[in-house]
Amino acid sequence: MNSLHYMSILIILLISDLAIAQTNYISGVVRSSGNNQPIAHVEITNVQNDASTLTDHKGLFSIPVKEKSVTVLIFRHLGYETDTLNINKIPNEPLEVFLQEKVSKLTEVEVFGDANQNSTLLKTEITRIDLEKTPFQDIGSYLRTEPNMGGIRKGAMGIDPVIRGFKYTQLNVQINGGTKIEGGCPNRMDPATAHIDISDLQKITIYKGPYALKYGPNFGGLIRLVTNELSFNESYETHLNMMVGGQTNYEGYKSRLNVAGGNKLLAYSLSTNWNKYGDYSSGNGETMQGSSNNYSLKGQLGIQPVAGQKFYVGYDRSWGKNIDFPTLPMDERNDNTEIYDFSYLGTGFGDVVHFIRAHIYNSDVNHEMDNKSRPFSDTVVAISNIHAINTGGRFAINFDLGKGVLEAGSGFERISKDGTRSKTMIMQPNMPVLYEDLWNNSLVNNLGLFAEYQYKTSRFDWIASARLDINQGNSDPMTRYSMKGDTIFIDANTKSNYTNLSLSAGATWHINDHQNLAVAVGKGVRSPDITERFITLLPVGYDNYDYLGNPQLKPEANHELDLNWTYTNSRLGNLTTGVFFSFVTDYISAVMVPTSEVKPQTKGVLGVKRFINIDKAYLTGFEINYVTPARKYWDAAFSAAYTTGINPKATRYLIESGQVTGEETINNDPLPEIPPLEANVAFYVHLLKNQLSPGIKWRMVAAQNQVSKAYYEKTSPAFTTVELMVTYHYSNQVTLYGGVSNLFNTNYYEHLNRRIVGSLSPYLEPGRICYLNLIINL
Amino acid sequence: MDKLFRQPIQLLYFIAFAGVFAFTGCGSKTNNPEPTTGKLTLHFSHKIDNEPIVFDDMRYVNAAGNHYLVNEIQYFISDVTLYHSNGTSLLLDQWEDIHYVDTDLPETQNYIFKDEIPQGTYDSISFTFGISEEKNHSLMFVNPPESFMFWPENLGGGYHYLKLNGKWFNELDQEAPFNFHLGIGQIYFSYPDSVSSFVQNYFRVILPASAFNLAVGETKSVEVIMNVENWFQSPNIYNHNTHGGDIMQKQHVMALAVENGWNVFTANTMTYK
Repeated sequence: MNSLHYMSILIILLISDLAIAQTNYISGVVRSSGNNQPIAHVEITNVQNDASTLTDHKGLFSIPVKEKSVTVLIFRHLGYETDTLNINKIPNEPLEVFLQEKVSKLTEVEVFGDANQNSTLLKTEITRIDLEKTPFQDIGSYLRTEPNMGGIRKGAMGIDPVIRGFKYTQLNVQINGGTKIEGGCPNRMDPATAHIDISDLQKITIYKGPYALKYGPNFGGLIRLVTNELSFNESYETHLNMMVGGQTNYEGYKSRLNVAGGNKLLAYSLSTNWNKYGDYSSGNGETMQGSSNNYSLKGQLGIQPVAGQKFYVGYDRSWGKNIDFPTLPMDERNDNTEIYDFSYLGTGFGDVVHFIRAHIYNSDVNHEMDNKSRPFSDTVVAISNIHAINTGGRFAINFDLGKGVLEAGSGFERISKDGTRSKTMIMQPNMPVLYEDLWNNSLVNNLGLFAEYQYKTSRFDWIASARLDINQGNSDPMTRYSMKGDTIFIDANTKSNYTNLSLSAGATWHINDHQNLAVAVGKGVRSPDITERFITLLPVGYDNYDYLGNPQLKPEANHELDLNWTYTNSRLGNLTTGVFFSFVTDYISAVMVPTSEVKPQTKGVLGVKRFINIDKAYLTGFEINYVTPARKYWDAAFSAAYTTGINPKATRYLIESGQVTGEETINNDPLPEIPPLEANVAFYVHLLKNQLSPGIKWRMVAAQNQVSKAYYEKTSPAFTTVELMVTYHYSNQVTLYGGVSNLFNTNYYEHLNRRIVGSLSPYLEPGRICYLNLIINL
Repeated sequence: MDKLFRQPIQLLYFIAFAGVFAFTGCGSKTNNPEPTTGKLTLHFSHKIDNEPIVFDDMRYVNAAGNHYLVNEIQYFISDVTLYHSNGTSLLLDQWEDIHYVDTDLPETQNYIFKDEIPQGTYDSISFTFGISEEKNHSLMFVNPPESFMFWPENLGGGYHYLKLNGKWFNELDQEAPFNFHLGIGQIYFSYPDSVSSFVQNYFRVILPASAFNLAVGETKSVEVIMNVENWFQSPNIYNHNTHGGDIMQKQHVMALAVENGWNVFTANTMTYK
C-alpha cells in the first residue's frame, strides 16, 4: 500500500461520515486546582452516550456528545476528587476543568502507574493516546522525541533511551510497578524497552534526575511503563480494543487485539500483537536494513475478593525474529522472553496505613544472535546465546501521618546472566568449534530499603527520600580458553560488595496562582552493572574495542541539582523552564589493557578496554516547554532542550593504520553520545467540532559538534523535519490517526545513531513515511 | 530565606543535603618521584648481502647457487629480554609481548615498548623468533594482518613464525615460487594423515653486538636487521632445488632453517634524546 491508498481511505471515511451524521465534541483541559498544572490520565466519561476518553500529557481531552440534550461529564483521577459537570449547551470555547486534590493527596494508590502529585519530582507523563497517534514501532523511538531525551539506535528495534546524557543502567526502566528486564544482548540490542510492545502501553512516566528513589536505585532517571489495563467494574463489562497501523517506505504493519472485561470481583485482559517491518529508504534513496518481526501474547487477571484488596497476576510472552542490527557485528536471530508477575494492593487498613503494595516478578530472556548475514561469516561463523533472568520484588507501606505522608519499604532484585559465543572456522574445516564465555554464570543481587516523606503546606510542597542498597555480585571466573583448553585469560577475583546510600530532597514554592519554583537536590548511587563487572571480551562500548568487565569497580554517584520555574495562566498558557547540573563521581569509563595481558577476541576491534572508575564528569543542561491554552480552534506547543557533558581528563588512544600506537590526555573532553540542542514546534487545528484535528510539527535539531575526541566520536549535521498529523474521530468506536512524517524527505540521521559496521556511514533515518493507525474500541 | 525554613524539618533536610555535596571528597596528592628509567624501540630492517632488499627482483644468489627474489617477509618476534650488566634480566612485556613484522607494512617495522627500563648498561638483547608453545594459541589474533599468519590446526595450530615468500630459478631454469615458512613441525606416523607428535620450532635469538647504555629519560632505538641470505647458509647450505617450494610439512627441512636462524639477526644501536 502506498501513501495514496491510505490517504484515499481517510478521505472516503471523512466524506462518508460527513454525509451520515455530525458528531459533536466537547474539548478542554483539566488542571489541578492546587497548582494549575495540567493533569494527564484523567478519565472522562460521558454518561449520556457512554463515551470515555483520557486526558493526554498536556491535560487536553476531546469527547463526543449529543447535541440538544444535557451532557453529563464525569472526571475521575486517582489523586483527585471526582467531579461531575452538567452541560446544557455545547460551549463555544474549550472547557477548563479544575480538579480538587484528594485529602490524601500526597500519596499514590494506583496499582501499576503513579498518581503521585508531588510537583517537585520532575515528571513527564505520556498517555496511550499520545502513543496511538504515532507510527512508531518501538518505545525508544517515541521516547527520543521527548525534550532532553534521546535514543541510541543500532538497528531496526531496541532504541536505547537516553535521558539528559544518562543511559543504559544509569536509567532505571521498569514495567507495571517494578518488573525489570535484563536484556540478553551484551550490546544492548534488546534493552528492557525492547521487550514491551509499544501498542500495549497504557502510559509512560518519566522521572528525570536521581530524585524518585522509592522505585529502585535511581542514578540519572526513571522510566515507568504500564501495560496493565485491568479494571474492576460495578457490573460485568467486556471491551474489545483493536489497532492496525500501517506505513509506507518502512513497509510493514503493527497490529493489536485486546479483550478485557470484568466485574467487581474479577478483571481480565488478553492481548496479542503482531508486528512486521521491512527495509526502508532514507531521504537520499539509500536502502537501509531495518527488518524486524515481533509478536506477543499477554494475559492478566485481577481478583478483588473484598473491596480494597486487589490481587493481580500477569503473564507476558514475546518473540523477536530476524531483526536487523546493521551497526553491530551480529543480528538478532531469535528472542524469546517470558515475564510473570504478581501484584497486590491493599487499602482500608485504618487511618494510619493508607495502603500496602507488593509486587514480585520474574523475567526470563533467551536471546540468540549471529553474524550469518555479514560478509565475514564466510570465514568465521559466530553465534551467541545468552540467558538472562531478572527476579525481584517490592514491598511498600504508605502511612498517612496527617500533615505528611511516609512511604517505606524494601525492594529486591536478582540478575543472573550466562552466555556463550561459538566460533566455527569455515576456512579450516577440521578445526573444532571454539566456545567462549561472555558471562560465566554471573550474578548480581540488590536489596534496597527506602523511605519517602512528603509534606505539604499552602505555599510549599516538600519531599525527601532516602534509599540504602546492599549490592552483591559474583561470577564464575572470567576466563578465555584456547582451542586446546589452555587458559589464556583468567580473572577469578569476581566478588564484589557495595553498600550505597542515595538521598534526595526538594521543595516547590507556589509563589502565587501562576508561578511555581521548584528546587531538588539528590545523590543517586548506582552499583556497576552485570556487564561492567563481568563481561568477558566483547565489544559492548561506543568505541571499537573488546570490553572486559571489572568486578573491582566502585559504585558511580550522581549528585544533581535541578531548578524549575513554571508559569501557568489560563489566557497565556503554560511555560515550564528548568536547568540542571550534575556532578558524577567515580564515573565508569574504560582504559586499554596491554595485549600482553589479554588479546582482543572480536574481529575488527582495535584492542581490549577494561572498565574503570575515573574521578569525575559533569553534565548540565536546560529544558523549556510552552503550551498554549486550550482553544476552540487551535492550540500549539513549543519545546527546546539541551545537555552537555564533560570528562575533565580523558585518555585518547592514537591509532595509525588500524593499530593503537600511543595515547594522550585530553582535558575537558565532551562525553560521548549526548543528544544535540533540539526544538519542536507543533500546531494543531480543531475542525468539525473537534472531530477532525490536523496538525503540523517541526522538529529542529542542531548540529552536534561537542563530540568526544577520546572516543573518536563523529560530529553530526543539523536537520529539520516536518510532520503532518491528523486525528479523526470517525465515531465513538473508531478513531483514525494518520500523517506524513519527514514530509520533505529530508536525508538525516540522529546524532545517537551508530555507524554501520565496517564503514563510517551513519545509520540513516527513514525518508518520507505515510502512516495510518486505525483504533477500534468496542 | 528565613521563611523558607520555617519548619525545622525543612531546615534539617537542606542541611543534610548540603552535607552530601560537601562529601564529594578531595583528591589525595602524591609526590612524583624522580624518574630513573628510559625507553627502548626496536626498528626492523631487512637486508641481503648488507644492502636493503630490492623486492621482486631476481638479483640474488644464495650459498647453494640458487638465483632468487623476495616478495615479502612476515614474522613474529616475542618475549624481548634485556640483560643488564649487573646480571639481571628484564622481560619487556608490559604492553605487547608478541610483535608482528611485515615488509609491506611500515608501521609494523617499529616495536615501541611502553616498559619503563631502568637506566644502566645492558650487555645484550634477546628475543624469541616465533611464538613460544605456551603463547601460540589458535585464534588469538582476530584481525589481519596477524590473523593471516594462522598455522593450520592439523599441523599444530597457532601461527606461523615466519613467511618468507619469493621465487627462484629451478633446475629447469623456470621461475618457481618458494614459501619458506616456519611454524610448528610434525612428526608423522603415516604421512600425511597421522601425526604422532609436534615439534616446537621457535628459537631464541641473542642479538650480537647489542650492548647499550641507557640514560634516564633516554629512548634508545635499536635497529634489528634480518640478513635474509643467512637463512640459506651456515651451518646448513639450503638448496631450493633440493627442498622444493613448500616446507610447512617437512620437519627435517624446517629443522635446517631453525639451525640457520642463529645468525640471521644483527643489531645497530642509536640514541634519541
